[in-house]
Amino acid sequence: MEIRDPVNGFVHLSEAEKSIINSTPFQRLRNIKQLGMGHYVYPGSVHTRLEHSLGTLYIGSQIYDVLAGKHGKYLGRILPISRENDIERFKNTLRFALLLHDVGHAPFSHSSEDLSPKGISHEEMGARVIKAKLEDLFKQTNISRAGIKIDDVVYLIYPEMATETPEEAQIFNLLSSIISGEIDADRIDYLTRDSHHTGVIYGKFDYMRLIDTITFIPYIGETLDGHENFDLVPEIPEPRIGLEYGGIHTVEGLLLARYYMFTQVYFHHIRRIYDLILTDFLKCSLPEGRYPLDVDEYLKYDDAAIQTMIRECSERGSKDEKFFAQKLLYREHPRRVFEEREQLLNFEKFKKEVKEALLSKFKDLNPSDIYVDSASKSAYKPTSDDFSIIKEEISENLDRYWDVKKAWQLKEKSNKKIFNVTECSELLNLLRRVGVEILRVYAKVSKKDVLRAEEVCKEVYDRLREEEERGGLNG
Amino acid sequence: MDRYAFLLSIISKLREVDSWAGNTHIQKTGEMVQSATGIRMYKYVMHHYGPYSFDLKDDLDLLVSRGFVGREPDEAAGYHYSLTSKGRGFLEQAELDKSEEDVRVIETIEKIGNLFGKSPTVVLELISTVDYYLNKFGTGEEEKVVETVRRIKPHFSEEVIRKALKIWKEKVT
Repeated sequence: MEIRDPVNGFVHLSEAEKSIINSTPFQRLRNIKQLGMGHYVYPGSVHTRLEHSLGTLYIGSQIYDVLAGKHGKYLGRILPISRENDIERFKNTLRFALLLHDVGHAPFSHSSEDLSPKGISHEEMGARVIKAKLEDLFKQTNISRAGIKIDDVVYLIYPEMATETPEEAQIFNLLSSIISGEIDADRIDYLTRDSHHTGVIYGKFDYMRLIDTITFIPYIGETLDGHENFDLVPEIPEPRIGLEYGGIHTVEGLLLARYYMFTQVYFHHIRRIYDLILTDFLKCSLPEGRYPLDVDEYLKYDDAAIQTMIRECSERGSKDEKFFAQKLLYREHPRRVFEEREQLLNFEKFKKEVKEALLSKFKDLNPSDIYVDSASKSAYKPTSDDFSIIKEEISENLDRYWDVKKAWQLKEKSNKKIFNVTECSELLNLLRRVGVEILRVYAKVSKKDVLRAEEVCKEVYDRLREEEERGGLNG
Repeated sequence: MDRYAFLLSIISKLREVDSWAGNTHIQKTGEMVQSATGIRMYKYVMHHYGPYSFDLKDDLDLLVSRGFVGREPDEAAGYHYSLTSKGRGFLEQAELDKSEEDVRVIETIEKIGNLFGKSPTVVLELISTVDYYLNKFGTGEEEKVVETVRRIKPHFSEEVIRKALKIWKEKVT
């Protein structure tokens, strides 16, 4: 079976994968938009977690094939692989995990993630969903005969939920970093896909070249000093995912794409305010003010169910439900009145004090019409990257260097073949310094009052900033 | 002690002992100090190469962007973190009103920093992984700890893993 994907072309699937795709928990992803409330700004961004899951499967499989193609002949020397057919089993297990990595997402993806039951992550919820709802599918002959275990798939998505640590845990940890790591299938797919559907072309980069240059790095740590303290030296290097030297420009492209997509799409001020209004609506309309922990109950919620709740509550809901539902239905959001590119350490204190200051200045303002937002609360925030780059001639003959002493020689200054990414690109170092610590305040004030509101926010911001620099974080 | 003072104290100690003071050093020291004192500043999960806290990483990035912590790329691998004068001022202020628990946490940071601050990342990853599973399985399950760590880190021999367990138990707990 194959599915035509607008970003990657044809995605080929096995019968076993098809049965997962046809399952109710996976089909639910068809009703969860990838960018949550993003379509309020970019009308084209109505693509779903289902497409993203298929795309991640495609990209992750390509990464696996590149690694197996480069190092397959000697994988048994660098990893604890004992049987020939293990390589196929690992690939199939990875493919199931790639498909299912987002199966625990809340409606509207990250937009309403703050209301997850007991604050658990979507990865943990996904592991719970797989264990509770897909066990019978994993018992099917075509899946079990291939040696694929449900517990291994769960381990790849959220290791804490696996019944036990698999025998080949090191390999599974490597596979898991293909799904979500420094250079991973999830990120490659969401950047290219979100760029495609929003029409924001900054998100595009040469991901095919990037995938082609992914390799293993013999990791032995950053320095030899200090080993003598306890004599805890590894027998052989640890394999980690890195990049060949020729991939530097593509990784620059990826990180630039991530930066632009963050500022233009993921943290767009209008998109974010609708995330916050949606969260407020759900806080007052969901039982207990958050999604239920029970898997069956949780799975009843998708975008369609929430959309119906919004429509119904706008007419027949409580006062609060009506208030937020109508904002969502009629696209009535408060104005952005303040934005700073430097975060405060005590966000909660700023939130409290800026609300008080605005309410005291603008007597008609309702507390529910003020929102304070921080980029560090965003699921997509860019973080600093740290991975290694290796020269092609070593990557192509890695087995010759799979030895602690030889791996150290590759880091010696005189004949250096392994680098940290920070050494290879001035552009990346520059990008790292730019940062995206955005802090925003929204308030329902008239156009003519925006400047006055901004002054109020700025006064609070400057005061707290000064306090913080003196070391005062109390309150 | 708030989370920022906790992180700044760790970085300050790591620099004092001339540690590499990179991401892994801060992450794993944080985990070990939490484990040894029982405080819960950050949630840790088992990640690709050992226990890891996403919240700690966010706070560290924030302290860097706000100028309390400096982050210099090393010419060979990763970063070195250090306190800026603003960070030192913040820590001095925080130290003025220490509680009894703060004193205990700071003493443990001193101890862990002195013991492991100079160790390379692979050693820190090994010891904190051993510690993580000791907490998860309980002290009576040492064989299970060794077996699990061996599965995650087969590049270390069983003998080295047992030695790491012994070091942790004898020197810290």
